[in-house]
Amino acid sequence: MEVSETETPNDAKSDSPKTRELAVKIRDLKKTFDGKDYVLNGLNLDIRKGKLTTIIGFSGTGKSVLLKHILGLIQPTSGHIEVLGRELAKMPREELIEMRTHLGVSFQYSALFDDMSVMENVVFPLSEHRLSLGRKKWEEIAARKLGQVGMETKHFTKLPSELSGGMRKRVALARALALDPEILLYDEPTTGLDPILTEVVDDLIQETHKIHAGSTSVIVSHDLFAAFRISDYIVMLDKGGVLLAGTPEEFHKSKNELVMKFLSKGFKQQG
Amino acid sequence: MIEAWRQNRHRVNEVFDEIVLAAGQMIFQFFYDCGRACIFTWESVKMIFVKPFRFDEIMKHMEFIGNRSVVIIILTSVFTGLALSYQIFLGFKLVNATNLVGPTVGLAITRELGPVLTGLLVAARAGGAMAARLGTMRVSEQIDAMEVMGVDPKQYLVGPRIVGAVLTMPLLCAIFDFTSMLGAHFLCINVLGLDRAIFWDKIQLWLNPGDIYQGMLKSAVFGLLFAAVCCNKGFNAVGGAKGVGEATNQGVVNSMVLIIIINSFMTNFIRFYYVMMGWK
Repeated sequence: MEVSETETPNDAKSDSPKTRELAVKIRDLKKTFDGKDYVLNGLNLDIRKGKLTTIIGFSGTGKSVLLKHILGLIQPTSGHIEVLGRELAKMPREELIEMRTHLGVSFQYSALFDDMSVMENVVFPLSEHRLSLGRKKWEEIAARKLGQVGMETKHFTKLPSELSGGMRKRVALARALALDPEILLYDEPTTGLDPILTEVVDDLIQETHKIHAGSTSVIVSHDLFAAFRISDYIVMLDKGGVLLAGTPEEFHKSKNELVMKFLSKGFKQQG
Repeated sequence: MIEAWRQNRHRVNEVFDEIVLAAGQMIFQFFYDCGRACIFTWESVKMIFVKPFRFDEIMKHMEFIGNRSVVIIILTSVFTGLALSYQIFLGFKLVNATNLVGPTVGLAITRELGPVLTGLLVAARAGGAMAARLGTMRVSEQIDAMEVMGVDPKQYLVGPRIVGAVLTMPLLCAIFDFTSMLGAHFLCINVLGLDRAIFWDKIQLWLNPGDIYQGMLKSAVFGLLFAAVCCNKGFNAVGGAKGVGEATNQGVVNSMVLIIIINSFMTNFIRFYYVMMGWK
């Protein structure tokens, strides 16, 4: 289903002055892995700077694939992706590495390096990109970031395997924040967590977004409650494209059959 | 019978076509995999010469591949030396040539058994660990995490492992040569009663430093082989724990088979080179 102009408040198809304030700009993005079925099929999307945007959709609609395109982990079959005003596909290696220091990612299963302690995990990006600071300063910054996400000092020397799921998410978030990125991306941040912990993580995301004023947050999630509670914008994907993009209020008011079905089933499932 | 064949010849042709097609696909897949592995290896190794240099990582992997393999190499080599020298002794005794047991064992160990057995042992131990480690990192998104942090995973994870293996394998091979000769010495002198002076004198006479060097050269090539194959399998693992298991299994098996095949080619090539140069 194509996205209609009336349903895209963020001017996905135009090049209006607003697009200059975009963190991510995607035009006609297509992706196929087998040459036949398109996971993303002509997707247009704008993600505004400084806002918290949640991408929702049925399973298999290409949410994670879209996220990997934004991160430059997957090359598109066709189309354009601009992140912070720079075209990803044409970027040489050095520039891509530099650009990635402006992105922070919290992966679905945290993706902490399992042979490194909590502290070493957070120090890792600093030791790679802030060489001049030195170990003492790296550890100071890492401790501060870990403190921000509510990790106690006694856990700093533990390995990821010694932490609970919620703690791992916190460490992953602290690591993502280490370089003070302009865009923070979360891939299913609350998958596998109990309802209380889910709320804690959602609050943490919202708090982090507020503390890092001006930073852009993009969440890929199934958690509808969180999406409506903490997001400035919601984007719903379907059949490889954007079905609806708008504020939570606009979603509530939408008469689109699929959106209504998704919301009613989603909210019912979450009780 | 001929009539029956005529009636079914379309079916026979179909089966034949299927066999040819399957064989063709296998051959194509083999060369495709080889090509991919070569590109992967080249991309990883060339990154070693690009800043930031990863000396610490190279040292870490040298320690893992080398230091932690020493015990298993010593154990295996001593018993290989014992068994080989005993068999050669039994054979040479039949023709009253026991004086030549030492150099024969020496040549067999330094040229062939040393590098091949070192290669097989380290491929199984360190190669398997490499494939499993990288495979786990791949399926748990740790490699993706590294990449989005602006760190090239081939430069950080693969290059140092391959360089570490290439640098360490000749040293392990030298240890294998030395300790297996000690095993042979113990059996021949202390158990079988051969003359110590003759044993070592003949070794000195027939064994050249070139024999030891060619074994070390071979083992460096085997290091490159198993590290590249196992890292490639692990790095590209898909499908969770099952995928990691398969990658590890394929990495180790492919490395071992390749080591034995490449050894055969290298032996002939080195022999040909020696003859061309007019050496012994």
